[in-house]
Amino acid sequence: MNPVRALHLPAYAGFFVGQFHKMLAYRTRYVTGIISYLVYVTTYYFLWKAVFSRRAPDDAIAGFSGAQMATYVAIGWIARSFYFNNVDRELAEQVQNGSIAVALSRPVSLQGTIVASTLGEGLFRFLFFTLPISVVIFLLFPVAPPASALHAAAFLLSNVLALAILTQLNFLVGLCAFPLKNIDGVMRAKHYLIELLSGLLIPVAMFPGWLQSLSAWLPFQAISYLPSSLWLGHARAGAEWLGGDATLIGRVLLVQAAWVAALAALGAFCWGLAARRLSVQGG
Amino acid sequence: MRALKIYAALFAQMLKVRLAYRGDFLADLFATALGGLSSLFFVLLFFVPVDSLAGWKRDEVLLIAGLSSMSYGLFATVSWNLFEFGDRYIIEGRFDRVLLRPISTFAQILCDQFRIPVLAETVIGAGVVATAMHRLGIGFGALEWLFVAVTVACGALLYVFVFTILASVSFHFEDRVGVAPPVFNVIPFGRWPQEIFPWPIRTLLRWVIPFGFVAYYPSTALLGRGSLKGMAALSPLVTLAFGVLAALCWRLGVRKYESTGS
Amino acid sequence: MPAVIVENLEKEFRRFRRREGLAGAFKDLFQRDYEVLRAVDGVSFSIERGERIGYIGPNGAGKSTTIKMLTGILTPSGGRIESLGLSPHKQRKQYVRRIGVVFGQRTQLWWDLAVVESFKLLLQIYEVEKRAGEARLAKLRELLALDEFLHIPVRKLSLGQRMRADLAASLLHGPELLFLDEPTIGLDLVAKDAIRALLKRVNDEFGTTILLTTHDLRDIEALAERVMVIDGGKIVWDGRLEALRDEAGEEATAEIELLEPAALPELQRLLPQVRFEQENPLHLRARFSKRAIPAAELLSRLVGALQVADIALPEPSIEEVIRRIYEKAGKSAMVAAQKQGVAR
Repeated sequence: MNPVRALHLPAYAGFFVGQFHKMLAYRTRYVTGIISYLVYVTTYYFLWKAVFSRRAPDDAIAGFSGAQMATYVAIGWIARSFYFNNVDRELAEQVQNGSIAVALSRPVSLQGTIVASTLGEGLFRFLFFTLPISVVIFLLFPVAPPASALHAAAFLLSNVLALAILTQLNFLVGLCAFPLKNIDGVMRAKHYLIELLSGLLIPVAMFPGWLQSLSAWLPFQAISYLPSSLWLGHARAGAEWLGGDATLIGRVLLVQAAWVAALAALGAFCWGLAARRLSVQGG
Repeated sequence: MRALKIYAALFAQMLKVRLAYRGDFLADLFATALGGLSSLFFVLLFFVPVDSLAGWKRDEVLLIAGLSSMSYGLFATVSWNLFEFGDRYIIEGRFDRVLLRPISTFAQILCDQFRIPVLAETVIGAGVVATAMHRLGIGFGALEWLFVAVTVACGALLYVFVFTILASVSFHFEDRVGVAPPVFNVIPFGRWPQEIFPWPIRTLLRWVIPFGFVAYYPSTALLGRGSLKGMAALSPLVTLAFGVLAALCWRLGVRKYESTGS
Repeated sequence: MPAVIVENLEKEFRRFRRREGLAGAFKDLFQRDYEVLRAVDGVSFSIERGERIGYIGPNGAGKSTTIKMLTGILTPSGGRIESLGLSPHKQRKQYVRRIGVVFGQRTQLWWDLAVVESFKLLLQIYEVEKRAGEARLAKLRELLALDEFLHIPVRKLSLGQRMRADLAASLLHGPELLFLDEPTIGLDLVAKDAIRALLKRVNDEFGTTILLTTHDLRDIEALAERVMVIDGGKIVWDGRLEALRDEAGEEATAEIELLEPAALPELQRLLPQVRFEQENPLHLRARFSKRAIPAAELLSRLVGALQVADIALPEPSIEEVIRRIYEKAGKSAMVAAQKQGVAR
């Protein structure tokens, strides 16, 4: 049997292309999206600049110099322009309007179709958001290049894994629409939780000690903090458990992959529960 | 006035409906409060490694952030529809029904949905403002109360007007997302001391997207610091000006809808 | 003085044309294509108070656009509407207090609120005086049998119940004119019958003028006194329902089962005013006008000339007539387009 067939890859490819197509149709979202990222980077760049401007050039905070912090902010938001998606909202809408029942009747798994379409969206975002945003940001802000070519490649791969982690998290949040009537609040809480605990707004290294230990056991820092540390080429406070710089790349990717697997398993389990409820109670 | 009465009646109804699903309501309230807290928690986290930001201490920055949260909560409770306007009303065609009712179209859009849990943000913001004022040794006289109340009301209205202007763009360009997201993302700019930004951004936040008037300028007045504390007095005027602009944009949009039906 | 006067009404739209394929979608990002569409093209009619009118036409004929202009939602591009002495789009707030509108596909009630709470809010919105509102609601509760679901949230109602609730909502403020866009769409047969009966009672009881669009011609047969047919943005038929029925009655068909095959040319010579069609050697269909030859005469002559096993005269439907109207309108539109082409 053809292994490609067996995995229903052509079927998933349809979702991949479909999502890509859908994204192209929204030209306003495209323009406003680029502006939004510029706004994000500007805000946090100047916030940190104000902090470092009163310090000596070599006076680092938790291992970050002013220049490194600027790079960290820019890279973090550029990466977000790639891995971000709205799987939770889309899934919740399907649950609320009942079209989720169609997912049960398809010969492919729901999680699989979602991964395929987020990858399609990711490729679109990379080509049409992330690249132009990077150009603008590299021109406007002082961003240091990656530590090495190997680090750059690892950074790219790491962000694909970040996309996978976020997708699985969003899938879980979207499934909340089964027990809850309205998940606006849950989505909002998740949004802020990720922005804060992923290290996007403030590096995990600057967290107080107790929050650093807590973060080590949560998937959030694998979305932003770990990939960005690959670009900078250093393992930093709050991630000592990753070991030294030499093995950094391998370990970051491994930790991320483990989170993808764990969250995907949890998602499959929860979807199983939801699907049973759907087929028993009719939604 | 009549719109206000209908508004109150609808609000009571929605509250009743939401409370009927108590578990759901509490979960939503809890999650929203968590979201609201996290943005204030960021300020706390930020001041762990840092002791002052362009001369502003932690409690002073919390005062700005708290005021901003209070206004935002009021705004987001009543006007979530403005963000979904293009999608819900223009593309899905609900605006036809709005035109068939004998009260102001704008009042109807504001009335149509309430996100009651978001009020948690206003409550949390109030707590933060009170704590910050106490720790900063600002008195709690009638004047201060009145000042905070007017500031929060003006701030909330200013948000409403700015996003009304942006929502009326949906009348002209059929698009589910609309142009509001980048401006929505500018809101956090207003939560920080404006000194940290270079002059183009400061000017932008003063005169173009005037979110500086929501919390920053009023805070400078409360704290009696800086050369710009007089700007707080302009806050109601700026709000009024944007109200007029919003009304014009809305009218223009409705007229366009009447001629094309989309 | 008629309730509604419409003269030479016109509406043009500019429509965005999406390009095909991925490359097309990409091109649309930068440059858009538009085409002009004449949805309503010189429509004139008037409506008397208390009339029940069925407004029909194929999809995209201009029905909804006309309704939207009559209700004040859309501004006409040309022509004039005077309804209840007002200009719908210019004096909209004043006008909508005096009309009711039901969209079959979309509810005007608040999804999460109990039906009765929605009604209370609407009474407030339309500024109905308290006593009058209560009396009106009591009357509608009885008329539309609302009591069984008055305290249930709208989203939990069946489609038939929701339509009754929507109908009540549109009548709460005592409108003089009631517009209904596809009021029976998606309903089962029993619910459809109920809605038709209710509309008739509303018309009797309150004297409300009713204009409804529909795709279900049984709505028209059950409800309308007068029928207007629109196609290609033009009114192609306007008259009493009986006139439509008569026209339907005049054009008749007979289905003839034979015992042995007939010679068609010979038969045609014998009865030149009848058009014969041969389904198979033992089944003939005769199309004829009752004015040209009465049915009884046709039957007796057929029985005399052929070995007849059975003859059936199926009841002609107005559906058949309307199909013919559409066809005729389609042809004339085609002819007009061809002429235009020549002129150019």
